[in-house]
Amino acid sequence: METYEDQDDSAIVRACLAGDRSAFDVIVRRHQRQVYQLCYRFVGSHEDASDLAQDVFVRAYRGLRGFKGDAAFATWLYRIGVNVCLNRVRAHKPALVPLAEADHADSRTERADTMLLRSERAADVRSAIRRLPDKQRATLILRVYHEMPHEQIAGVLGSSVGAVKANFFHALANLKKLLKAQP
Amino acid sequence: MSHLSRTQFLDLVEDPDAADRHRRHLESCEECRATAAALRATIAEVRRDDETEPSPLFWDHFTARVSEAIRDESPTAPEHTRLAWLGGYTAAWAAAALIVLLGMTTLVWRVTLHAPTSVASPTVADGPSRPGGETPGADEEWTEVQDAVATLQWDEVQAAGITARPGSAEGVVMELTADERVELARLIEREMKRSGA
Repeated sequence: METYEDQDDSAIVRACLAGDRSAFDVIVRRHQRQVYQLCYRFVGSHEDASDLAQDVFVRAYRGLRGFKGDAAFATWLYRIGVNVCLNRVRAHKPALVPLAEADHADSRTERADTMLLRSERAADVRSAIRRLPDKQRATLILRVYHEMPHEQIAGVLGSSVGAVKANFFHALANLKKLLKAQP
Repeated sequence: MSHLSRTQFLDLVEDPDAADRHRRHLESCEECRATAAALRATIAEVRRDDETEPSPLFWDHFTARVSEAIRDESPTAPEHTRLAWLGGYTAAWAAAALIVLLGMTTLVWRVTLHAPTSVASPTVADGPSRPGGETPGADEEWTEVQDAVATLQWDEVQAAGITARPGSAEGVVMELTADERVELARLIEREMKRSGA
């Protein structure tokens, strides 16, 4: 039985298009963490992120013939991911998580009050990120949490590097204001 | 004294070596120094929110879920292939077409029929309405245009360089051939009769 683990994404895509559906499992295993994390950063819930990530892969599979190989497969996949996430958050306006429902920390390894403060601040940051305009939010997530170069972000978002830098700068500036405004 | 640009600020917060390049300006400009410090602090705060990883068991389960979900699927042509000739700016083109159509409607209404205009300004976010009376599903192209502009924001339309300027509709009508103008008038008249205007 042929194995695809050592092959690059383009070769695996060709195998999928040639009719080997199992090859797509390798694609999923290879990219699932990044796609899931992207979705999680947009929706802030593991259950929703899991559903969204599945949707991203299903859409990618359906549209596999649309991958022309002129960009990295990961960039193409991220593009689908960002579109799926933005459509989702546009349809469901941000549900701001009250601090009382924020993730609570395990106080066995760190002082409870320190952990609580950290957890509350993290919830504030997530809430503020969710209030950013779509492109600023996508740019910030890709740049900070996925450490993606500006050029690749431009490829994912279909914009110029200059626009990406402008969006990133504005995202940080807006975030600073939003965090300052938090009670 | 001019301040640092956005790009220079990003250099400062992302590239440790950039501080040397801008040292002279930063030493003399308190405002830029404060902005750079605030941007650095914001990035640090965002980064502090660690990655949240599901259980290791989740990933095998997830792969199986996706595999199950695509079991009855097959890779097909990309969505909206039929609109591929419009290039990568389908939504913007669709919005432009909508704006021009509404502009022409207003113009012909005013000029040809001498009726007071009451055509509401188009709202992209609301999406275009289906041409009246047609069976749902009978006009797939129109549905695609609806889909394309449904989530379009005016900011994006303007960023794409598409704006409605005074006289644009007149300009478009002047470009039409005589036959096209007759057809346009016929279509508008039909729509007005249908709506009881």
